[in-house]
This record gives sequence, C-alpha cells and structure tokens, in this order.
Amino acid sequence: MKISKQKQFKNFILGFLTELSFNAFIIIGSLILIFIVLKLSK
Amino acid sequence: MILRPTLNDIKIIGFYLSKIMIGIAIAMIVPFFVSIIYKEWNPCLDYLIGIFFSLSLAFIVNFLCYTKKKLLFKNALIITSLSWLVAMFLSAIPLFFSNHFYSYLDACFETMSGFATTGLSLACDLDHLAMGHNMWRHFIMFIGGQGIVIGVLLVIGKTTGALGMYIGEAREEKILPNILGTAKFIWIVSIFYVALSSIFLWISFCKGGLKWDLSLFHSIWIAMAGWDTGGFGPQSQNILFYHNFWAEVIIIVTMLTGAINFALHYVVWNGTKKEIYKNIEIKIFVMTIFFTFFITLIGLIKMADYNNTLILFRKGFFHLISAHTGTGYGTLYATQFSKNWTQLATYGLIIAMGIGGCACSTTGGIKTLRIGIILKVFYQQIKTTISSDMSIFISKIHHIKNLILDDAMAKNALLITFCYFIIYFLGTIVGMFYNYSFIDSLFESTSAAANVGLSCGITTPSMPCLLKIIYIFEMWAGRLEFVSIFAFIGFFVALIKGKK
Repeated sequence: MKISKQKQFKNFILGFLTELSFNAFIIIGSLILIFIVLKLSK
Repeated sequence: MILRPTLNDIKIIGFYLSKIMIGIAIAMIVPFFVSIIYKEWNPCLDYLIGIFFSLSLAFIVNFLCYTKKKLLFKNALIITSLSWLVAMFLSAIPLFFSNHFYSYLDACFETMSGFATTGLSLACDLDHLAMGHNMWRHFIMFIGGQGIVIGVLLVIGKTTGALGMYIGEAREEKILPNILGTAKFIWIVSIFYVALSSIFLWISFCKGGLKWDLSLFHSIWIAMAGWDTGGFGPQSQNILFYHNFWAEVIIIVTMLTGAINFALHYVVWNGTKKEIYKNIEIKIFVMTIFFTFFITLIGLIKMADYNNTLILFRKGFFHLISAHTGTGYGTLYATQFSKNWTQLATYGLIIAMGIGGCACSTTGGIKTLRIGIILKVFYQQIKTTISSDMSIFISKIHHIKNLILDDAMAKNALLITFCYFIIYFLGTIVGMFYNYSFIDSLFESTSAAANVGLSCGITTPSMPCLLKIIYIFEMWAGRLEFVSIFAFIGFFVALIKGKK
C-alpha cells in the first residue's frame, strides 16, 4: 500500500514528537527522583 | 575439519580492504578543507600526506588482490574486523604529525577511540589542537558510529556481501529489506538529529559568549559526538568548559536519542508511535536508567557536596546519562570521580556503563535488549522450577513485533554478555597489575570496553603501553560485539592449522 507524502510527513512529525516526549519523561522523572530522595534524606 | 583459507579468500579480503583505504582517503578531504578555511597550513600538509599514503597503499593492495570473485559471509566478517584496524592505522597518520601525541601508538589509540565512539583521549594540549585536526577527531567518530564499512559501501554502492559486513559491525537488525536501504536510513536519521542538535547548541553557545564561527564548529562537533554517543570534545575540560545549563540539557536529549535502536526510530517515524512504550529494550532502558541513577544519587547525597536539585541534575544525572548511553561527556575533572565521589556513586556509573543503551544504535556495552532477554530467561526458569507439574512455559518479548523467546536467542544474549564481562575484567586485571586501585581499574576498563569514554584519570599519555594496547583491543572488540573478532581469530587459526 502506497502512503501519500503528506501522510508520511505527518507520521514523521508525530514520531519525532513521540521521541521528544520520551526524552522529556526521563528528564522530568529524574528531577522528581532527585526531589524525593533529597526530601527523604533531610 | 578446519580448512585453510585459499589464495582467493585472501585476495577478496585484500580487494575489499583497498576500498576501505580509499574511503579513509576520501574522508580526509573534510578536515583538509577545514584546515584551508582556517589557514592552518601544517595540518593541510598532514592531511595531504595521509591522503597520499592511504591512496598509495590502496592502489598497491588493489593491484595485488584484484578479483571478481563473489564475497562470502565468512570473508565479510574478517574484512569488517580488519577494516577497523586498517582505518585506525591510516587515520592516525595526520594526528601523529600534529605533534599533539607522544607516539604513533597514542595517535592510534585516539583514532580507535574515535571510530569505536569511545571518547577516551591521549591528545596533549587539546585546547590548542588545530581546527582541522579537531574536525578529523569528531568526523571519524561520526563515521564509526554509523559503521565504517557500511559508510564506504554506501559511497561505492556495493551490495554483494553487504549483509556479512553489516552484521560484523554489530548491527543485527535489518530495518529495510536491503542493506543499502538500511544503511541509507541510518545515515538520514543521524544527519537529521545532528543538524537539529547543532542548531540548538549553536544558539546556546552564541548566547554563552563564544564567537559565532567557533560556536558553529563546536556545536557541530559536540552534536556529532553526542549523537554517536562518542564523547570527544574540542576542549580538555569537555562539556565543563561551556558552563552552560541549556547546552547540557540539549546534550542529554541528543545522547538519549542516539541510544535508541535505529529500527525503533524507523517504526516510530512511520506511524507506529506506541512501539516506544511497548518495546522491551526501551522498558529495560528506562528501568536501568532510574535504578542506576538511584544508586548514584544515594552515593552523591551521602558525600554532601551536591546539596540541591540543580547541581545533582547537572553533575549526577548528566554523568549517569553520559555513562548509560556510552557517550562519555563530562562536566567534572576526571580525577574527581576517584577523589571526590563516593564508591557507591562510582559503582552506579560503572553499572550504567556496563549495561549500555539499545541494540542497533551507536552505543556500546551489553545492551538493554540482551538484559531484557536474560531477565525473561531467569523468569521463565523460575516459573518452570516452581511449577508442580512438568509444564513448559513459552516466553514472549515485544521488540518491534512479538517474538517467542527461543534457546538460540537466549544463548546468543548470554554468550555476548559473558564476553563483555570477560573484557571488562581483562582491563581491570591489567590496570591492577600497574598498581591502580580495583575501582579505578574497573571504571576505566568498563569505560573502554563499553565504548563510553568517561575517565577516572588512568587514561593519560604517560600510562603504560600495554594498558594502551589492552584498551585499544577492548574498544575494538566492544564496538564490534565479538562476532567478527571470533571470525578474525578463526581465520588466523585456520591459516596456521587448517587443512589444504
């Protein structure tokens, strides 16, 4: 099945944003972990 | 019965090696032009000598080994392992002439570290290295990240026997039906992310006060080495030189994206977005990041020097991601790991370095896919043991598609993991032989073998020659993931002991 150029571009943008959200999840998760461990250690 | 390789086998290997030599000569044109732009005439001459020597050797080998015979799988693996050594020796020529390396061995160490995307450096006075030479260091890292042989094949458009070379360079997954298409996709993803990361880094460096042209080159080099999880930097202080929070965040994103499987990039970019949440290696990657960061964090909080969220993020999390993705970028001086950090924090980094990122990416180490398979095998074994009847359990893993975990897959994962442990400890023992402490030796050896590049201070130009050679071997074997190294050793055994 041939996919149109427009659909391909949309898939690429959404895929790229998904990868960015994965990065954001790890960075925000690490900040939350630091915050929790710092709070518990005091 | 082991058969002795024939003259034809040797001719095929030589013929393809000559193509690699030509490829290296072509690649040297890039730093040559950078040297011309910056009017660095001595480096210009270094690259002319390098190009002349590489081409001369290529023509001699091509003349002696010219053949039209088809490339066989077994020969392809040997070509791959030899190509990396040939590339190391030829690429070291201009760097050796730069006078920033004590010996030719040091220059070879630098180029193997570059090609294997490790990032350990033996350059003296790095801060005054010519722009052309810095371009070359980072460019070989970019070529090595995607694969030397695959890069050359892409340029010359050769497809016969490409599968063997592709597997030999530790890429097991065929993303597209043909290898050339797969290699093309790998280069497209890499260029896209390097360009994007370069633009953001350029802005942040310019805002940080660097001159625009210097910012441009620094951002391109750091984006190339960050994406390829290499870790070379144009300054001896590495990322610490910039004192730039936003640059550090951009580098973290670049390193994390570079550690993702190319096959996963392909499916996510083609509409299967949910794959990133279902894939076993991503799940294990996330779990091991948080697990090893937790260990490192506890260790860092115990030492009380880092007492707020921002500093723990910039010093702790940055190094953890740098270690886990096999990059080796640092915002600390090398000796601070052994002198300031607690042992617990350092062990957290060592575990992260040993595990590495996803398979079929630019990272080194055991890889999270193998860790996932091994954990599944353990789980399956425990279930079988505690079940009252003689039930047989079938385990499945989700990696791009649902796969049944079979014995061959488990055996392969366990064998490669075992090989990694052997080379981690080989370097540790040799380090301890030269009176370095156990933890420092383990840190440096794991860093070399898992192609990370973080250093606790052992890697210096004055370190023993044997240790340099062991680390070169570790970087080479770790990057190629042993298959082509086994073929290489087997080839020489067959040459000596094989039957005609």
